[in-house]
Amino acid sequence: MGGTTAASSVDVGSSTGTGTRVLALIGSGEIRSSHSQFFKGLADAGLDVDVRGHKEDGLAVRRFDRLLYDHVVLFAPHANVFGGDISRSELLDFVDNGGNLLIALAPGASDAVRSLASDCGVEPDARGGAQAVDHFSFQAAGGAADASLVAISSWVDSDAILGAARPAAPVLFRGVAASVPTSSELVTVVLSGDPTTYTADLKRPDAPSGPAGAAAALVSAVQARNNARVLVSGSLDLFSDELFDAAVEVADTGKSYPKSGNRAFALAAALWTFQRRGALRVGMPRHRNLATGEEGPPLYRVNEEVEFEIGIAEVEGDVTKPFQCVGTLV
Amino acid sequence: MRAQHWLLLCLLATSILCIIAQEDVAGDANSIPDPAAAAEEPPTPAQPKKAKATTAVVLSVGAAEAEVIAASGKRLSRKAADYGQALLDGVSLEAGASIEVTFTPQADGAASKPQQAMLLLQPKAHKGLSAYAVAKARKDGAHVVSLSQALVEKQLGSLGGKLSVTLLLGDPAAPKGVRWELGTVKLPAAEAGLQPSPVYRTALVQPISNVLPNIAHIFRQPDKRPAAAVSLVFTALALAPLALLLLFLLATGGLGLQNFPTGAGSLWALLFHGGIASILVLYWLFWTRLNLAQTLPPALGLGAVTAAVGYKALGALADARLQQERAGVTPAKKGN
Repeated sequence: MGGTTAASSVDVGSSTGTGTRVLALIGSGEIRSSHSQFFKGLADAGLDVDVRGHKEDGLAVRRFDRLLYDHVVLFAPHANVFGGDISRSELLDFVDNGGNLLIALAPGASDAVRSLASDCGVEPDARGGAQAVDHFSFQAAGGAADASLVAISSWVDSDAILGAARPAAPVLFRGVAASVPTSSELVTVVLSGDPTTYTADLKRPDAPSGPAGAAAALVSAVQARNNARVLVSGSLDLFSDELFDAAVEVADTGKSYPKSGNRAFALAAALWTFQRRGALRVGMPRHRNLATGEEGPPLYRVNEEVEFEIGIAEVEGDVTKPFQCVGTLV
Repeated sequence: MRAQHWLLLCLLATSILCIIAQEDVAGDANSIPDPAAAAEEPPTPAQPKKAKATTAVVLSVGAAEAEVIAASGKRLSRKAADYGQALLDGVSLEAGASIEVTFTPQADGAASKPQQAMLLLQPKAHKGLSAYAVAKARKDGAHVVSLSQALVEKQLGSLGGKLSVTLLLGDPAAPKGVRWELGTVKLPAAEAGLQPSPVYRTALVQPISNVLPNIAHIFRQPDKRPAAAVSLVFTALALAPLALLLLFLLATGGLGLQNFPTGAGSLWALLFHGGIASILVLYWLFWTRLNLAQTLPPALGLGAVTAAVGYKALGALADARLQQERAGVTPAKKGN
């Protein structure tokens, strides 16, 4: 058995599901304007975003077996019923067929959206009004004292998910936390709480019993075995214009930043979800018998040396470049 | 018609003016502060509709006490410290032993029960991991939290070495939380080779759990065979009868070709022996080179030819014998 060598020229063989049609389902009409910068950022990255209310008639993600959209953004955390053909099982089928999904939860999220996230592998905190709270690293700019708007700097160190650059300022987050067990193979936690974060219902004096600290997964990313990607964000406000533009002052340390890291983080995570970054393409494999020099023989015998060559490219948007692989198993 | 239109327009204009007037009145009331109130006390800001009318409290904690309890339940040592000082400096926590930290959180000076009263344990050797111990409130307002190796193991797996302990207090009513670095606790060293295995994935510590091990294939070793000399001896034994036959033939005078048929029969006899020889050659070719599918057709052909030729040869031999008898070999018959 020989080794693998990365080819310098790449034959683009099979293509992954990288379309550009996005269906954005919003819970209320004002999300269209309150999250306009996020939608504009997606459009600037080359995606066609179709923003519709979640209860509109005639909504459908596929007609028979043909997908009408390649990606779905679900910004309706309190929705129990969806219009048209959309339902929890329909969205799961959509993911099974290779579509990508971005789900945003919020405190008091409905059971439908919560169980959709749970089916995708991320268990949101099930208690009613529980949300991520931090009395130390919360947003204190402008004299605010709301411990539920946390300023988090614990993001995953991954070039594939967040791109080459990391957010320059803490990410402002207001929403629910989830817990992802370590044994889970397909889920990566993209943003987890700071060590001082915990989850509680601010209106009740109960002691915290949900995930605390870094175990509170605020934004999680799932990559299914059919390469479909699902991003589950515990906060819808993370994507809002208000938090994109907000200046951050961390209460505990007093550090202040002119602009939050929300825009960079949200768009980077969304572009990963929609296969615009970190997707691999393989070219046609080639093999030859080293002893006889024959290219692509129909069979090899035991103990014969084989040279196997395959081209692996990394796709980022419209740019294809050779993949710098850390380790490849053949 | 026209009069009705005018009437409707007037009503519309009146109602709009009323609404504008009301807004004006409300706006005036909010913008001009009451001078009498301002003279007595500092002006309180107008309460926004959404915030509850809670006053911000200030959380604090006075002193804390740490008690080391052995596995048997015996209380070993006790230490107290004030806020800001180190309470636990490298206290060793054996397996089964526990450390109880008691403190009284206060809000504006009075004992209170804040929502967040927990200890944050961070191992020094593994950045990004943290364990938590939540304090329980006692009846008299004091909070007790118990640290043990089992607590850390349940959250982070097997872990050894120093852990830094921080007390965190926080409440929704308080604008800022209280953080007190209590010191460090030393856990017994973990078993060699065991890595911490946290129960939940975090953004900073995420083990990759689905990489298969790299297998270097080893071919099966051939079975042990006896020494070559043993095989050669048995080959010699197997060939011994053939060798003995050759020796016997050489000793007794060869192949005995004197009775080989002469004349017409010699051709058939030669062909017959040639056919047998060719079949033997085919045997050898089959042994060394050919497979059965390649051997059987020629074997059948050669066999048929040899059989026919042999029949002819025997016929020629019989004819020769008859001729000899007719030519006057009657004395042989008379002998019988």
